[in-house]
Order: sequence, then structure tokens, then C-alpha cells
Amino acid sequence: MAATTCYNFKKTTVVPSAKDFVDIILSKTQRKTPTVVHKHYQIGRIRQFYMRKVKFTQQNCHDRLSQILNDFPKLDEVHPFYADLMNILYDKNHYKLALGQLNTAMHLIDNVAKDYVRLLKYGDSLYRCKQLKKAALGRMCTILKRQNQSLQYLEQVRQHLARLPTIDPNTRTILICGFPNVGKSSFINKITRADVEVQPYAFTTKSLFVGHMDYKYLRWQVVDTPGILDHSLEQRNAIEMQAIAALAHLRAAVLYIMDISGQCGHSIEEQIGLFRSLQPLFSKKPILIALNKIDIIGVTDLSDDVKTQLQSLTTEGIDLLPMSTVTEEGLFDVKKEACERLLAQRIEVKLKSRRVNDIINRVHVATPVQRDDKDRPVFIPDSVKEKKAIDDSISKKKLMRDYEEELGDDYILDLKREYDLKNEDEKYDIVPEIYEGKNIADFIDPEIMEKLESLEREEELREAAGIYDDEIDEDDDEYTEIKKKADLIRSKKKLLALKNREKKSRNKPTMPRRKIQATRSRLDKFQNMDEMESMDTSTEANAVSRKRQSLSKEIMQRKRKASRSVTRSQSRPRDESAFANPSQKARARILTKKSQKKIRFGALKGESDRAIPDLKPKHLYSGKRKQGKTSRR
Amino acid sequence: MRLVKCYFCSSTIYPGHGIQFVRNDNKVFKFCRAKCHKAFKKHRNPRKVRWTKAFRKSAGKELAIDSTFEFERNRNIPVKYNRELWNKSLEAIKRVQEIKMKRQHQYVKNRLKANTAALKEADYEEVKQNIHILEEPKVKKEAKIKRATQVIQEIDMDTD
Amino acid sequence: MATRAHFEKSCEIGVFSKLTNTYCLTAIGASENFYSVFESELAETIPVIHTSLAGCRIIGTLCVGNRHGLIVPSSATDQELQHIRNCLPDAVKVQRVEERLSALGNVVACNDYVALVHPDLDVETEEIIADTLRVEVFRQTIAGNVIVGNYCAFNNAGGLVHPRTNTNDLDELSSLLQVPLAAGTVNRGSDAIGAGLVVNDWCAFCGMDTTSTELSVIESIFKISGAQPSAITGHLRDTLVDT
Repeated sequence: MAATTCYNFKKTTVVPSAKDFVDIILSKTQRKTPTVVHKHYQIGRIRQFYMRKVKFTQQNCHDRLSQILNDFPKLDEVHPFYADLMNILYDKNHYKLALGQLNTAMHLIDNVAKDYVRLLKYGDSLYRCKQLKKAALGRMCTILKRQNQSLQYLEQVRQHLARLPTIDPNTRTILICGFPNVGKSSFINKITRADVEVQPYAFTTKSLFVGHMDYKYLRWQVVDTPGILDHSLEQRNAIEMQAIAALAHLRAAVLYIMDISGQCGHSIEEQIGLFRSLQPLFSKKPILIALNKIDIIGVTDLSDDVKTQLQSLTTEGIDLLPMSTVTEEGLFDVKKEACERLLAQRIEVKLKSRRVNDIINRVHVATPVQRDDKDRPVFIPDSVKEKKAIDDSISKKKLMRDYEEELGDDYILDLKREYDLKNEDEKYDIVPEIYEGKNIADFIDPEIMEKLESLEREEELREAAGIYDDEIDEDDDEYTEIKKKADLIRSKKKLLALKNREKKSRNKPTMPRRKIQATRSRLDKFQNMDEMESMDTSTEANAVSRKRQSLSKEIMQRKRKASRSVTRSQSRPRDESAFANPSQKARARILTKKSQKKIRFGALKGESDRAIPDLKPKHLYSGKRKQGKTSRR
Repeated sequence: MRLVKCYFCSSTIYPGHGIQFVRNDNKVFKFCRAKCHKAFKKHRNPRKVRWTKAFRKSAGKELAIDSTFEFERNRNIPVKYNRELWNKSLEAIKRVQEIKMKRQHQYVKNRLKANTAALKEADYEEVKQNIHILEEPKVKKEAKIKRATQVIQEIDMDTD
Repeated sequence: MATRAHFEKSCEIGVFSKLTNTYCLTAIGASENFYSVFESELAETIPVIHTSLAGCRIIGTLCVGNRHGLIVPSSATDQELQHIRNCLPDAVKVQRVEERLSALGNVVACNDYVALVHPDLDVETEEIIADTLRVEVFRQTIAGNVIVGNYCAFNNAGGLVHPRTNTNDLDELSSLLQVPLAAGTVNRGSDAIGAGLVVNDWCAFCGMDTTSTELSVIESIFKISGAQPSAITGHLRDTLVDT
């Protein structure tokens, strides 16, 4: 924003002298770029190494110089007051020239780097590349060394600029001017907190000083200027020119201070003369003349011709205010008058401008139009009025904050302290919130007892009416019999159903019917036994048991003998014990291999391959969803 | 701390249980467990899902309108603390709960009573149709008789 | 008398407290400094109460009240409601409302006679407000903003509204509310008047950042310690225009 840039010059970067500049650049190049290169490296790598150095140096220079050029204010872009001031202090031409020279230096350095980089691309040995780099850097440094004058000048400018007082050209300002030694600086010292040097010799104040003061809730700037002598513009020196610049550009109220005692060394006529010559500068500003040092000579004590001269000023409409900075007489009036005048002017300007609407609502107080007869008075309780009547010093109550500080860590915020209950000792009761699975707060009702009474009465009525009586039906004997039988039938039915279900489920591997033949000889064996009735010819279990029984006792005994283990050494290995003879074993092996052929040659999955046959087994996925995890479903 | 009712099944949610869902129209739904929450997400209407209290009350299976329900209400205007009132309220809560339970039981009983005649009829029918289940099958009976006679014969032989 | 205060470094007094002619609610902070500011001004005259609503400290934005009653949102717990009821005198009615717009302090601005309400407020809530607080309720916006409670503050003597309200709206609102109104700022130019200050008929509290100009405007429009609204068009005029 233009407003902020114009009065903050403290942030400009330090401008180093040429020697320092060169040192900085070169040392940075040395530190930040790779340092090691050998002649046996590939030529591309060598070239790249040196090009990097040159480019780095150029980049660095460019950055620093452009930073300087950007930080320094451009006289065209700042407020005309600052432009003028800088012209006075630093000479506009010199300033622009210095900056321009830095600019050209920057471009020259860029060109140098460009050229040498181009040359480096064709360097064919380390030595040649090195020389090129040396030349490039040398040339850049020479360019910089040539700028020494400009750099030094800019550094001085920067230092001075940083120390300039921050005068905001847009805010409320009061400008103090007059001959040297009239009492301007003592005036500003009295009004503001500024501490300007006051001495009996002329031109004590050599530059502008700013002080701040408050009036009507607003901040005001008071600018103290060096004394102005009465001669033509061309003859004015730099110090006076500052005052003139301030007068010319700042939109301020002007306070022209005159010394009526003559202590400054100039007569009143001379001072009035100066006033007249400065009058064109006061054209649009509110102007006040303050007659200072009335403690030495009063206004009435002045000679008549002086009075007539002063009269001429008053006839032009300019106010003359007597004051004394030593005795502080009339100071406040002067200040007030100046502020009021300036404020009035500023407001007038603002209200005429486009931004009226933004402000006008802020000063408008909307008064209500009475729309009905209802009276809406302000409510202030009596205790407040009483409290106001009592003297403040008497009622010094101890606050909670004081208690807290006193107790420190022991302080506990007791919320119940503030309770306003009918019975004070009930304040600290522990109140339950939940009872019997219900919230107590849902039941609290001042009429709960009455409601409970009515409920009890209702209940009594109901009981009397016999709603709760158990009707015991007298069942006749016949029905009880039938009921018993019906229950028996039902239970029997259930049992039958269960049994049938059991029958259906096959828990054992079954032998197909056709394999077991009911031969006569077999059947004959069972003559004596009664198993025939319940015999199911298709069950394997029975088949086995039948086979066993069919063999004679002797054969069984022989078998048992053969299978009995005699001694360790004679024990049969387990893989043979299942078979009657080795040939049977061999046969069994062949059969195993045959059955696995398909799996082996077809690269199919077999029994031992890990496979989940049933991804959703019924026992895990059936049943009701009760309390418990069902996240696997 | 406050006990609230599950939006779906109307059971009480104790502190530390359940999930609360806040919708964009500022309506809050509290659920006692994942079962209710998931049912809600599936857009199930609690008034149609049979095991919820909402269904039972709307279908008339349980007591829905009674003066005991007036005692427990969400109150927005608080009453100043008064020890006596609070003590009395605690007693009242218990008594009201007793009466409410009593009335609910009676309601259910009455509802079931309506069916006694039909049950009687069913018993009669059952006996008429299926009395044969109580009787023993013929084949078994005859076999029993046969063996019984055999045993008697053996005994006679032995004694002889 | 207008006092500056701050709640744990925040200048938004209206968010953390509620001030009326018969009671004052403050949030529970880390230390008692905030509470003591109110206590030193108000202790013997009206009860000053620590509280929280829905477990939050932003009680000023959640509840609304005047000397006749206090209305809290549905998110306030039973225990908090009971606590408030125990602390406040019997003359003040306390009620909880079921309302979609639950930040009642932002949605409703009221004094003892009139209330300004968000245009989208429920009809039932409006009725409850009219009944509990004994006010006339008007649905209105301020400078185009619907959250009226945030952008204006008024007591029985005067009111301060959002700085960008134009003069026509000011006049209209003033005749609705039947109090003199001014447009101003608080807390160094902040628009949110209702959040930045609390006021009743004899004292006001605003944030630490409030400038002296703003403070004098507040004192004059709310008629605190004898100041009159004429000051705004009078000696404060220049100050207000020139800033």
C-alpha cells in the first residue's frame, strides 16, 4: 500500500561498500559451490564446475543489487512530501544517478556472465576453463569496485533515511513554524512527550521533529520545524527548505509562532514580513498565530504601531492567541483552537467526498417514533441506587479473585455457594440423578404427591372392581382327562419326530446294499438269535459283526495268535500288520498310487492341500442375533 | 448424566453404551447397540420390526396408554431444589413403577385369556385325531404276546 | 459505568457472559479474574453466577434472557438447568427449548420489552420467548445479517448496532424497538457488537481492545452514568467522522 510504504524507511537493506561487496560475493561463491576439481575429470564435468561458479556469482550479485534497488524508495512513488524532503536532503539527481549506476552495473555483470558462460562451453582443458572463470569473476569485481562512490553515498542515504521521523502525511497534523528562537521547540515539548533540544542560539533545531498528543479521543501529530529566515527561496539553505517542504505538502493546521518580546533578535515587523512572504504556502490550511513570550512583555504593553500591524492581521481573519511556553499560560487554548480548526476542515472535506455514506451512519442517532401507549421504563433495582449513594471507599468487598490468590492451589470453585434456596442448609446436599433405572429429573413436579394420591385411589378402585382377580376356571373332569391325553399326544409326537430325524441322519459310512448278499448260510447262523428282526442288512457295522460271527471259533483263535505280539524283535512293523501277507501289502500300495494318479498327473488339489471346503458353515451363520458379536457375518 | 431410550428398540441406554447419530436437520438418534444401529441404517421401520417396544405398543401387545406414564416426562421447566420434594419423588418413583408393572402384567394376562376357548377346542381335536399314537402298534403287541406265552411255557416246563 | 474486561485473553465478553437487570451469568474460566470483574461491580445488587451450558463455556451465545426469564437450548443438561434454577431468584423463569437453531444468544437479541429474532426461528420457540421473557417478538435482520444477537446489543435505554447499518434501517429498527439506536463498533473496530459487549440498564462491560471513542459512544447511547445519546451528534461527532 502506498500509505504504509511512504513513511517506513527503516527496513532497507544495508548497502555494503564496494570492497565489502566483493568480499561477500566471492566468499559466498567459494562456500556455496563445490571446490574440488581435477584435471582428469571428464571435460563436461569440468566445464559444468566452472560455469556453475560464474553463474552463481552473477546470480548473487544480481540478487543483492536488485534488493538494494527495490528497497530504496522511488521518489515518484512516495508521497510528494517525502519526495521533496529527500530531494532537499539528498539531492534528487544524485540519488537517481546513484541508483541508475547500480542498475547498469547489475546489467553489465549479467552480460559478463553470459559471455563467459558461452566461452566456457568450449573450454577444452581445466587450465583454460579456470582462466575463463578467473577472468569472469575478475571483470565482475571490477565493475563492482567502480561503483564504490554510489554504494557509499547510498549507504549514507540509507542511514539518514532510517533516522527520519515517521510523519504520516494523511493524519491530523499541526505544523509549527516561525523565525528561529521564537519558542517552537519549547512549545512542542510542552504539548507532547517529545524531547526536542532547546538552546538560546539560533538553528538549534536543524531538522523536522514529530511529537504526538491526544485531543478528543484522537491522535494528533505535532511537527516542529527549523526556523525560517526571511529571504527568497533561492537563498534558502537545506535546513530551511525542510520546513518549507513540510509547509508545502502536509495537510496540516499551521501554527505560526511570533516572539513579541524581541528576544529572538528579530522585530515584530520582520516576523510579520516573513508571515506575509510565507502566506501563499498557507493557502488552504487553517492558520493561527500564537504570540509567544507574553511573560516578558504583555500584549497590552506593546507599542501602538505594533498593535496596528497586528490589527491588520486580525482584520484578515487570522486569530492571534497570546501564550507563554515558560509559564504555560494560554497553551491549552492555542492547542484547542488549532485542533478544532483542523478537525472542522477535515470533516468538511470528508463529508463532501464520495465516502460520506460510510461515515454518516456512524454519527446518526435514530430516535424512535412512539408507536403505542405502552410505557417502557428503564429498570434499575433499588439496591443499585443505594450502592451508588454509599461511598466507594467504605464498601471494599473481598473478591473471589483475592480468595483465589490467597489460597493458591487450595482454592476450589464451589458452585453451590451461589445457590438461593428456601432452606440454606440444603445447599450442599448431594442430589442423585438416576434411581431404579429412571432419571429423577423426569419425575420432579411440585404436584407429584397429589398425582400419586389420585393414582393410589384409582388403583384401589380397580382392585375393588376385581380387575386383578384371577379367574380360576372350574374344568370338569372330562376336560382334564382330555387335556392330559392331548398333552401326552403332543409330547409323543415330538419324540417321534426327533427319532425320525435321527434315523435320517447318517453318522456312519454305509455299505451299499448290493455288496452284502443275504446268503442262506449266513442267515442260518442267526437262527438262534433274535437279531434278525431288527437286522438291517445294509449297515456295515452289522456286516462286520456278522462276518466275525460267521467264522468258527478255531479260526478266530488262530487269528488272534498270529496277531499277538511276542517279543520286540519279533514284533511286526506297523505298516505290515494291517496286511495278511506282503503281496497284499504290495497290492494295497499299487491301489493307493492308482487312486492318486489323477491328482498327480492332473496337478489337481488333493486331500492334503489346505482348502476350506465350506466358507459359510451353517453352525456359525445360523441362529438368532442375540447379544454378542456378529461381525463375522 | 442421563439415561436415554434407544430410538429403535426403546431400551434404556446406560452411560458408556451405544452410538449417537446426529442428522443434518439437527435431529439426534441414539442406539443401544449395533443391532439397532444397523437396522436403522437399513431404513427399517421400528414399528414394523416385531421385537421392538414400538411395534408391541402399536400392535396392542403391551400397555401403551395409562395414567402411570404421565409421571415420567421430559421436563423443560426446572423446580428449585427442596429436599422434602426430592425425597418424596424418590418414593413416588418406586410406587409408580410398582403400579405400572402390575397393570402391565394384568393387560398381558387379559390378552392371553381371550384364547382359552380356542385352546380347549384344540385339545379336543388333538385327542380325536391322534389318539392312536398313544396306543401300541399291533406287530409289536403280537410279538410281545408271543414271547410272553413262550416264557410262560418254559417256566411251566421247568417246574414240571 | 462501562468497564473493560477480558476472558482468558479473549475480548469477546458477550460470548462468555450474560448480563441482565436481575442476574448475571459468567463462564467458568481457569481463574476467577473474569468473575471478579462482574463481582466488583454487581455483587451486592444482583446474583452473579458461574455456570456452563451443554458443558461449554460459551454461555452468552447459547442462552438468551432478560429480567423476567432465561431461555436455554435443548443441549443444556438437566444438572446445569437445575444449577441455574437453584441460583436464580424465583421471579426469573427458566426454560429449556427444543430448537434447531440452538445458539440462542446469536439468534435472539432482547431487552425487557422487545426482542429481535432470526427470521427462521420456529413458531413455538417464538411463543415461548414471548411468554417466558414477556416481550414483543419481531423477526428482523440487521444490515442484511440474520444472526441478530451477534450484531446488536440493546438495553431498555438505547441500543448499538452493526456499523454498516444505513440510516433508514436504523430509523426503522429504532421505531420497532422503541429505543434510540446508533451504529458503532467495539473492540477496535469489530462488527460483532453482541459478542463484544454485555450491557444492562446501569452498567456495561466490553473487551480490552475497545478504544476510548468506542467506550464513550457506548456510554452515551446506553445512557450509562448519566451520558446522553446527544453526545454522539455532539462532541463525539468530529472524532467519529475523522477516524
